[in-house]
Amino acid sequence: MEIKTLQNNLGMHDTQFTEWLAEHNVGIDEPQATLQIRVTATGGLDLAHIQGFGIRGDAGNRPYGFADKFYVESNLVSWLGEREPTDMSFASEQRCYIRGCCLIEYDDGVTLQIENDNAGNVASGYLLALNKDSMKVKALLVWARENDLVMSVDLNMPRLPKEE
Amino acid sequence: MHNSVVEGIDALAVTMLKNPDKLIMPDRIKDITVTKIKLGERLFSLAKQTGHKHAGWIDLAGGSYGDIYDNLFWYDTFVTLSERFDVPMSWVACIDIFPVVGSLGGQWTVLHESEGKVPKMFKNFNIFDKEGNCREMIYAAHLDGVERGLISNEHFPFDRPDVVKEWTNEANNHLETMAEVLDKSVEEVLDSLKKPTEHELYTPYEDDDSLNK
Repeated sequence: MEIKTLQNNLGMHDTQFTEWLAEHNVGIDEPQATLQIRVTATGGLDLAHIQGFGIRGDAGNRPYGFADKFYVESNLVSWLGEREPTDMSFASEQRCYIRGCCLIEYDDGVTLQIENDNAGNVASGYLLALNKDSMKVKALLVWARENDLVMSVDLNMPRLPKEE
Repeated sequence: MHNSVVEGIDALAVTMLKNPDKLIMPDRIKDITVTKIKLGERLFSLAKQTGHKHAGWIDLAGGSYGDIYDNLFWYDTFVTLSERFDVPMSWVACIDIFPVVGSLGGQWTVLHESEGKVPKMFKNFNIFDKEGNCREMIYAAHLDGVERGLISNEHFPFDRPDVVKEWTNEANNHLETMAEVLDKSVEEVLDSLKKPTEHELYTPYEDDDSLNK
């Protein structure tokens, strides 16, 4: 999808679209694909809502890219709920997301790492493995690969010591 | 086996009337409902006691029948009764039922004409809207009835609103596109949309074999 197509999909004229890009912190001259996670997901218990801005490929499920809710461990929900939102939703005028989300493909799986000043299950934020059996995870990865949002590393994924 | 969805639902209403013991609410539903009724009474009383000084509680206290018997109450009703009568939920949703709840117990009542005790079907739940189209729950009941082998005639005799037909056609097209992109069957995609039994994102621990999928 071209950036112009996105602009048309959003129904904005040039000035509005430039403002939209600036407000949503994705770059104006060359908008960059970006992932973000909502601090409070709605619609059920133990959900995390991930949004992606990206204009390449055809695997997106939103005009701006990708969005879906994933079933997660409740500790992540609590940790996210304590974060101060820094970024706006790509779908509304609400500021309810944080950035720092990075997908990394290791030899033995894919992780989503949320870099943050506040320690979650790791000192640098939150480390999560993706359940590759999930079709929603597969859809996220197809879209993220189209938008160069998956970094590959020739290592096994980092793992945490088992909790007592 | 019934000839049509209307015949099947009518027969279900008669069965319900003949089995009042199956219309007693489980304590789970009764207790939630009683709690909401009591809270509503306290809130209404608060509004009355303070209304001569301020109107702060008026809006909140202006609740209605629908605040107590809300969508989730009805969903729970349909789940419970469909299991008890072994019919699709949509069939129960097409019957004119109302709840009777007191501190000691709760039950559902099926409305019926007083003369002759004939079920007064669709008294509130009319089959047709003002434009003469059938309500969507009747169509859902028809599809569910055919799928469960409860209806012999697969032909649906009523018209559905064009706008609703467009909506479901669009949803169907989207589903088929998803299946094509993901190289899965429509059934597999629908299955993936159910709440999963395992976390989709989780902390990777040492010695966790599930990570080596």
